[in-house]
Amino acid sequence: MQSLKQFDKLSALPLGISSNTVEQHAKFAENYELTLPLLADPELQLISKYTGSNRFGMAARRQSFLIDPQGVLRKIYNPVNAFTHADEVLSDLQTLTEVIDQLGSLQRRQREMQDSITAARRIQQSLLPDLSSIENSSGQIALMFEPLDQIGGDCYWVQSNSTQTWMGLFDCTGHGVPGAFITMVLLSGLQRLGNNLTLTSPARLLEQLDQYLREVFEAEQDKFSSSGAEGVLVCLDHQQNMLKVASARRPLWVQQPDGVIKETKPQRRILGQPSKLKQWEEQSFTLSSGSRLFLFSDGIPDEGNPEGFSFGKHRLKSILQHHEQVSLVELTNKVRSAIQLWREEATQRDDQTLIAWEI
Amino acid sequence: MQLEATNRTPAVSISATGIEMKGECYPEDITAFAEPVMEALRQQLESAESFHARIELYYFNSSSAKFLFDFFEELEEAAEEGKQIQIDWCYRADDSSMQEAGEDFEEDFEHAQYQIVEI
Repeated sequence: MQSLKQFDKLSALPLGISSNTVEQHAKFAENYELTLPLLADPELQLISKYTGSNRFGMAARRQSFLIDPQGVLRKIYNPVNAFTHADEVLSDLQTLTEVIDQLGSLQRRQREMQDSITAARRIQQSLLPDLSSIENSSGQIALMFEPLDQIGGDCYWVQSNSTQTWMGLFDCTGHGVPGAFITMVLLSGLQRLGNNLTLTSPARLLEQLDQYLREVFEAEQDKFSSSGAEGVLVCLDHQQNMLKVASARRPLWVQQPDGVIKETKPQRRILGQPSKLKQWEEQSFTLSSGSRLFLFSDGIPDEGNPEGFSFGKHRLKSILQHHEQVSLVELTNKVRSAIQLWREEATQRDDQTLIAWEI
Repeated sequence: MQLEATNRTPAVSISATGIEMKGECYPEDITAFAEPVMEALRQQLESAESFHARIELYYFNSSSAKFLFDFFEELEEAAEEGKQIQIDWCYRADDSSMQEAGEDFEEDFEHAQYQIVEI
């Protein structure tokens, strides 16, 4: 049988099955010199599963079923045309084999890409500081960090010594791989610039960071480019509880122990991008002990519900104000579940980071 | 120029008299979306005496914010040259985020007529 070989070439195994007994099958095969394996199913155990009928019928019609290597039923041939059937199935098998090959190669590529992103995530994580390391000197800190993909454009930075603590949150343009690339540039720049221990001004550090990012992205600036970052940078003086803040499009929320959250207005410019504003401005104020600071990326207020409406800053603010008695970890958990509740079945829009800091 | 909306980019329609943009804007590659739009905008503005922009966005991310800055700057510059430029920033009632975003952009306009419209 020519076609049996062809089936074999496509790694397909044709099987015959009927309600006849093994003996009847053996005789049948012998009479017609069949090499095709035949299955005997006199109790209709298997047949009924495929045909949905457990009726013994004299006029049983031939049907065929095409099953793929994963056991998925791909096609039912009913009725079967004995003259063209083998060719029809062979042609379908050919198509199925091609699709399975393509799918396999897509899955392989998907896995390779996933592996590469997982490796990239480890690298990005290693550059993000451990916020708990400064808790002893600087108060309590809780973090909500939810990149849209495994890696993302949100990042944060801390540095602390006996006299002051620095903290910054940055939301780089884009998310995923391009966003993550910018965080690497930004964090390495910050590490270099921020190591200057005589530094006491967030505005000055932002200015240097802005300059550094512009130099890095200069090659790109010729074209239509948008690489850069929004961010907020604070410096807390431990002796005087004096807080200085400078920011680019990201606000800082300060909750003094009276419970009300006040927003420091950010400058309307993007780090690494040209701006009409010449100066980086700084605001400073004295904090009472027990004050809370909130730094967050726009992915939190911008989270959309299925109708496309954003969660909004007001909802975020009211959660934070409503739960001023609970611990910071509990508070970030409340924000996380409120966001999830808001999102329902919609997909997350952007990287989300919230740092809550109680001094 | 006519661009259909995708789940990450707004529908855009640019004619000799104006532009309409409607939808969400957070593409993987903002340049691929923004470049042709800016190019078409510049072309139309060159010959236009008056131009009307109607922007109805439900969400945009930070890279798109940069695009909107550039987009509005182009319109403001045209207004400064003496062209009649009208911009409507439309937001859905209850969408305080887009209302605030609209108020935020308002500060950049001196010559163009800019209004925030609740829809």
